[in-house]
Amino acid sequence: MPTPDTTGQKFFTQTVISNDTTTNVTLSIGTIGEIYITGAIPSSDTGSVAYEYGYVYGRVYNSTDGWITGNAYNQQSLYTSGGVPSSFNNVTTYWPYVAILNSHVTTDDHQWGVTRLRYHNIPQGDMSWIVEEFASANDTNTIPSGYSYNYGDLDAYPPYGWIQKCSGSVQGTAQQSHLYLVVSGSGATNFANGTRFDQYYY
Amino acid sequence: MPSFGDSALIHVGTIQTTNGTTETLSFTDISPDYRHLSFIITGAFDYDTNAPRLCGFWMGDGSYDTSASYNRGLCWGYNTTSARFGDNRQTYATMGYLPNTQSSGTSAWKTGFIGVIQGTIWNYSDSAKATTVTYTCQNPYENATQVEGGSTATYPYWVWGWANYRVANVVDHFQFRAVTDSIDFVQGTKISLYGFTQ
Repeated sequence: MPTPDTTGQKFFTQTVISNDTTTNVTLSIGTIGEIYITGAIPSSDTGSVAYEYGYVYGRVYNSTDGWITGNAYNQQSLYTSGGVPSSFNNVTTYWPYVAILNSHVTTDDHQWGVTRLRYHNIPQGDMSWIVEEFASANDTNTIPSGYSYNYGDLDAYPPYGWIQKCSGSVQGTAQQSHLYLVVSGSGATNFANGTRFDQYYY
Repeated sequence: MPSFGDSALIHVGTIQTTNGTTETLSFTDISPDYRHLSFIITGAFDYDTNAPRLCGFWMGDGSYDTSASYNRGLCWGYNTTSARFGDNRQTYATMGYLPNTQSSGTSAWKTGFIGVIQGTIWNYSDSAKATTVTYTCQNPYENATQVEGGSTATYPYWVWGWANYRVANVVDHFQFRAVTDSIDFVQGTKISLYGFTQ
């Protein structure tokens, strides 16, 4: 019989963003775990905030290698911003894109993008992950102040703001200890207040 | 055995039909103790047709919300067919398919003929966030011997999608069933909820 400490998933950490100015977070990670990300970019964000979603990029750290950069990362993605996922990419970059954020540029600040990120982080330094993510299109017909188009209106636009599955891996020489996540892309720069990272270990 | 509060996933509850006349699988007192819920549904409908049947859910705080509170988006397909669908402010949320298994008046559950819907109910206990449901669904491949009239139609549906319950509240009610008509589940159809500790 499994013992309580080895059964199922065990809650590890919860990180909640408490302002609209945070651009990145660093999470401690375990050997096998799952991170449930509920995220958004704030309505006050700069750039092309009329996008209905924003990207989160990640990289990992261990004390032997430091931050792993270069082409040590490899990730394959299947995604779409509206139709059946048919777009595909394969990247080798040290900034793989791993999570989605909803835009709160409209009044729909109760809607949040969701990402489930499952990782295997073996002691020898190789780490792999599988990600499933969804950003919801906004649910009002409100055109944001200063904009001429209602991005993300479900009545006229995609059924979802973003949908993606991806898997990737990174090679290091020691077990990774931290995952760094940063907002970038689509004009997004910050996490919205209330963005949350719930991490569980197996 | 794991003890409460120590390890997750915590089994919140399971409903399994014990007859062939049940049309709904309902939870009416879901604990708010968890941040998210994981669920798995395995089952089929007692109905005579070869295409899988569309399923859906209602949820709410204190009751099932049947107002225009659901956003729906999914992609689906079978064989060489694929498509996507989405709309807004609907009175129920769609969530995949389960197969119809009855044949010529018998209600026996065909061996191996079972649909699976698996997913996550996000932020149901957070009063400041809408509840999001993400899911994947697989239905079995039908062959001529399992379809009324020996049809050769095949519908091994897959579905991948989400639904948003637009209201920001704490959900304690959740009901799953066929979205149209009054269709019975085959006996043994089951839904299980698991909670993630906070």
